[in-house]
Amino acid sequence: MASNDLLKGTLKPIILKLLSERGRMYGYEITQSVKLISKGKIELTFGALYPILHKLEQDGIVKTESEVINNRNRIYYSLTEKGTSTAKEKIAELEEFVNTIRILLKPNYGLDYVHA
Amino acid sequence: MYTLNKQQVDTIVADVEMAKITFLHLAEDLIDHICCEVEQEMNQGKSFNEAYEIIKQQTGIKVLQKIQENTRLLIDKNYKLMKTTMKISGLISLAMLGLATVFKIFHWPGAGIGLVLGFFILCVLFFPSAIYVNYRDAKKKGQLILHLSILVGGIAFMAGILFKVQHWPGANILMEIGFIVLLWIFLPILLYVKLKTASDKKEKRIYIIGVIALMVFEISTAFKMFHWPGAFVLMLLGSAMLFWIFLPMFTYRKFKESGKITGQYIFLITTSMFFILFTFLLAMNVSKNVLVTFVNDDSDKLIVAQYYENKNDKLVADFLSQPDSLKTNKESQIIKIQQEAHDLCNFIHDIKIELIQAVENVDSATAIEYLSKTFMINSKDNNDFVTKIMLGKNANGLAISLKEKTETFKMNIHSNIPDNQDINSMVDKLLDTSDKMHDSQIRSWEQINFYNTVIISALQILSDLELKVQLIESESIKTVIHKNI
Repeated sequence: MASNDLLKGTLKPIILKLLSERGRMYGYEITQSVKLISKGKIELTFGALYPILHKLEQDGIVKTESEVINNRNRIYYSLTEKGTSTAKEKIAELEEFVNTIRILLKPNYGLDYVHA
Repeated sequence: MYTLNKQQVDTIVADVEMAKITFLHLAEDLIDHICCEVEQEMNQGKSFNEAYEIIKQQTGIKVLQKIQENTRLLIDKNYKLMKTTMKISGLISLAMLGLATVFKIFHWPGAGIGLVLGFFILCVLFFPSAIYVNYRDAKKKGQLILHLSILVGGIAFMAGILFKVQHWPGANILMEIGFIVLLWIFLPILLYVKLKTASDKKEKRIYIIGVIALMVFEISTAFKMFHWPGAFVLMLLGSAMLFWIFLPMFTYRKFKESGKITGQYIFLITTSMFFILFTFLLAMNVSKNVLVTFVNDDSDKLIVAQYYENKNDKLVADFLSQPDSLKTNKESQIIKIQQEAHDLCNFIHDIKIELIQAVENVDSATAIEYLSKTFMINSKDNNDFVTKIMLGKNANGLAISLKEKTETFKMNIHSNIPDNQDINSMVDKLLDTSDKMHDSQIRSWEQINFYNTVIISALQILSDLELKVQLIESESIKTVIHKNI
């Protein structure tokens, strides 16, 4: 399982990515999706999820709607117009970052560089 | 796929409500999330109770509150700043006030500065930030007035106490404003809000007792300040209700509800501590009435002293205007007595001026004005400077010189009028400067009179002495004049 330190900056883009693909999701659904897609390697706890969702809402990136489901209110989150472009930026940013990290972690990269 | 029924959802809602999650739709988010988790567990064949028990481990009140806190910290930069300010300033002001109170009790120098600084930090930093944090935590409509009223009332009240302790003008007005706001705006609204949110009759009763206790306590402090009778009984009643009825009931209930001590409870205890500290400071202050009595008494003495001085001068002047044949050889004797009495009185006068100058930090002209109008002295109960000036560090204070001079004056009267027993025994009695038993230990004259004596009382002791010297002067001169040669 990925450590919290590594996850810290990546959660926001991950949430945005999910929302841009699925359209409308509720909190529990997001945590389960992350778990499922990452095959349990990344666990998005609800303690980490809701502060980020609320921050995104405050910043106008996502909007919410409430629906009564199974005797309780369920809050659905979806991207706003502004959020759609922000999501693209954030996802691209993370992709680029991951690629850079991948290059850095390539075996014997240092040696190749010296020989070149 | 299992879905929770209404009753099961209500159980979870009640638990989440206990965590007092008030941030927008966060409570709904958390309730739905917990419900989903429970359903997930139940799908694997567990009963509701089993499933909820497992999930509860990860979603206790503390966890839920932490999520709210994190959410707020992430969104509201003000909140974060205020929370830090509250923590740091609260600690600093509490430490300063506590230390200053200890200093004040032991009459060590520096208590005043500590008190002023501690109060300042408390009023300007801690209190507003604490109210802000509390307001954001309980963000509900209608609570704005509640928080505003305690902010205004509390600051006015605390500033009033500071002004009172420091004898700055305007203390009473500040305290009155504080009282009115706290008593007639804050407490009723608090009671209304608490009653509205109370879940059952028992809880309502606890809140009613708490608010009434606070009101009684407040009123008793007002009684004490304005010196109305009955303050003591009210204070006893208020504190008994607050600390022996409300607090135990409240603690028991809160403990039963959550099974642990909540932050709110600690806040309550801290506030109560502040309350006690303030009351203590107020009680330590010498009652204003007592000081006024000193002032009146001293002005009476000044009138008598003035009368004696005029009378003595006239006595001597009349005698000196007589033909030489009648004066015989008494002239030098009388002038000597008058001169010695004047010297001693002048010395006492100078001590008074020095005391007033030190305490009030004024020039000598102002000090002379204060001398005849002691009501103008602000720090009437200052005793630090009196002790320092009169007793000195190594028994070198002015009181020791005063004692020596008084002794010399006494001896001179004795040698001038050796054969009049009446005068001599009166002089011995009036100017007795010997050591005495005081508080079951032998203390010197200067210690009994000037150790930790408030200035208004020290001035009176000095006026007293002055008056006695003038009385002795008068009687001695008369005796010499009428003595048959």
